Amino acid sequence: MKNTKYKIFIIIIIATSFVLRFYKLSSFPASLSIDEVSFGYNAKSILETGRDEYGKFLPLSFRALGDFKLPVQVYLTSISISLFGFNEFSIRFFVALFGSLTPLVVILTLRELKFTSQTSLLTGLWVAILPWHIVYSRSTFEVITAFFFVITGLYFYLLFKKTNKIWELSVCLALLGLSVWTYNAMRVFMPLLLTFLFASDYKIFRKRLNHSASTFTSPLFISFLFFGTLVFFSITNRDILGRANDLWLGNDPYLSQRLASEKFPTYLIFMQWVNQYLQYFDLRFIFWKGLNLTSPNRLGLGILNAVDLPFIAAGIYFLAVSSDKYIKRLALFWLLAGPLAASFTRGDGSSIRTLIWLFFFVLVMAHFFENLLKKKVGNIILAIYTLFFSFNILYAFDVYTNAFPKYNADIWHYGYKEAINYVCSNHTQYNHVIITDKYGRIEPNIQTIPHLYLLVHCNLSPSTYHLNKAIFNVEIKKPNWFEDSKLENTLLIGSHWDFPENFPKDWILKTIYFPSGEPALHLVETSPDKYYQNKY
Amino acid sequence: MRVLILLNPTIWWMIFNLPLGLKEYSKVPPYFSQDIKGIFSSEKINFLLQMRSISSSPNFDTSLGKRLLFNKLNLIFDSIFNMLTAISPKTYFTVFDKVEIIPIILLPFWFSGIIILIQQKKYKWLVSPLPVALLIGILGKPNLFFLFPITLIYLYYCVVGIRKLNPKYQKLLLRFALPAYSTFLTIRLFTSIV
Repeated sequence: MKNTKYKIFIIIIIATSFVLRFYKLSSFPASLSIDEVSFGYNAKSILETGRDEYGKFLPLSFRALGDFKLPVQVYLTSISISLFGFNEFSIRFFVALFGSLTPLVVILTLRELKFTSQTSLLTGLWVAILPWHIVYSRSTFEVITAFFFVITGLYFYLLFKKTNKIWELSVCLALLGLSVWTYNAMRVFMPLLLTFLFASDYKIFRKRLNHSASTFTSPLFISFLFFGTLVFFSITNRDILGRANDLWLGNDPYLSQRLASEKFPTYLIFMQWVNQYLQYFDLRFIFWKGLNLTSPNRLGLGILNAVDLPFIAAGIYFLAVSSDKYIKRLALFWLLAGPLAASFTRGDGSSIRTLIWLFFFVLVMAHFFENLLKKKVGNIILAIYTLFFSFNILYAFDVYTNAFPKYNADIWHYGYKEAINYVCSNHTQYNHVIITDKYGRIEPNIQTIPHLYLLVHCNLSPSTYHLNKAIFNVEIKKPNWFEDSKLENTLLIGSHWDFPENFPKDWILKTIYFPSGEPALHLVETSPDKYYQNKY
Repeated sequence: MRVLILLNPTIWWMIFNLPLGLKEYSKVPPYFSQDIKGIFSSEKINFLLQMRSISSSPNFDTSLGKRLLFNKLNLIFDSIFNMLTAISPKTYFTVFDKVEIIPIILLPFWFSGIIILIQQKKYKWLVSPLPVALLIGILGKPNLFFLFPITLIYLYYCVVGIRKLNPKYQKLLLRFALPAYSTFLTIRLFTSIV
């Protein structure tokens, strides 16, 4: 392919990638998740005061609801807030940006792995329109940033292998190092990747070491800076260890129950790990249901498109019979190591924690395209594939834009923005405002952090919040009807489970509904004098 | 292959419980008719209609586009993907009832066996679990007796993988590691000692 044509196609692919990730970024997903408000407010706080939400100066871990976030995403978000102001767009900006640029790095990496320009472009396009990658790029999922760092790091490593320039190795290590400070799962994956790369190419390193050992000073310094400090920090920081312990599969309630009557607990824990690991190899997870965008056990989306199944199978075949041993080893490593970090955690299969696995499928699809284009009937098969793929993309688009908000609105804390916006502008009219921290679509099982939604949507100054944790006249708790309804001139914001069936409906100022039609939150104004006078 | 069958406690469990197996096989016709009806159960159809009717545009829900995207074909694919759980390695290498169907230490050999079979272009062996899985899926009863044919095919994959192993390690695996682990599984399966 001619160089100009190649560049034009790259621009088209990147433009597609940008459109799919940036179009209506502020309004889709419709509300900020608890992770996003946490990232957003901590970033704003860092930008304005140099301290996090809890007043800690330039921290390396950020406390969130039942979680500790690594620093890279927070510090990046503070840059976007300084550029675009404090809003949904700036909170989501960097993840969407890295997500949009990932197809470009995929193309460049595949070129370095000696795939043809056509194959690299087709595979890059495949990543650009892959729902798995798009869905997580449109919200602050730091795994997208980490994945970008890993693939870019790999690209620089391949450049280093070719040119033997030490600065490329330094950039590679810096990017891989950044990834471990971005997403927790990388702390499992990265040591394995580094070991793999070093073991595969130890001859290059040995030769270079024999020739001039001093040139390794800068890569060694970078390694120490990112990985050495992480090891030290992980050992000494209880927050990070606490998070790992919280997610550890041994804490699964069902397993704990079984362990109580088990005479050989090690066997059961080991088998639980095998179970968690092998669930990622289930075709239903990969091609049909892994993304969890609809109700459990119902039609949905897999991490890959269902139509990709035969082509992935063909790609695996071409990969297995390929003569390139390095790519085969790399693919095998990625196949086995991709879901490893996720397998140590409890719960159902996670399409977020396994996103790093995507590169294995990239290699497989690249083999499929590479071999397909060599065949006489290649163009016909490609046309048929494009037809089915387009249909699958339409299906994915419909599920993401229509079914996803309907079935997952509560998980995304839908309704809080509207309720909080009302509080921001009207709190002075009330003596007291009470906001529930638990609601849900089917049952009140979703724990939320309304104080952060208040801080974000009312755009409250972090320096004031550091001095005084009280926000207006607001109290965060589940409204207790029998006590709180007797409070004069109070605004109660709660789910419909928080109010008795026979409560005075004329007290309802407003009801915010989920996209599926169920009531999300009632805004209720108390007027006990009138009510209790009439009642008794 | 014979060694692997002999050292597989689950197969021994099935042999000792053969009457139960025969009883299960005799129930195949009723199971079959029950599960075929289940593919288009009213619950599933309702969900399909829900998916079809959710729309940001009020006039779009009855359009041809929605009908093309959400129709009974989705339910057929949904059932097929459910059926394919029967070929998932998770079904065979994790605890089924008390122990795994195929000893976990054979998992790496199962995996390498598949790669070798792909390289040797022995597609017959690679594809053969699919029709069995679909049949099990139609019966809707993925119990040990129905999973038996796929168990045998997967044991063959393990054999292919083991054959590629260095003879020294092969001996170590087949004479010591596998018998020892199988003994543990057998005790676990037939008694409550471990």
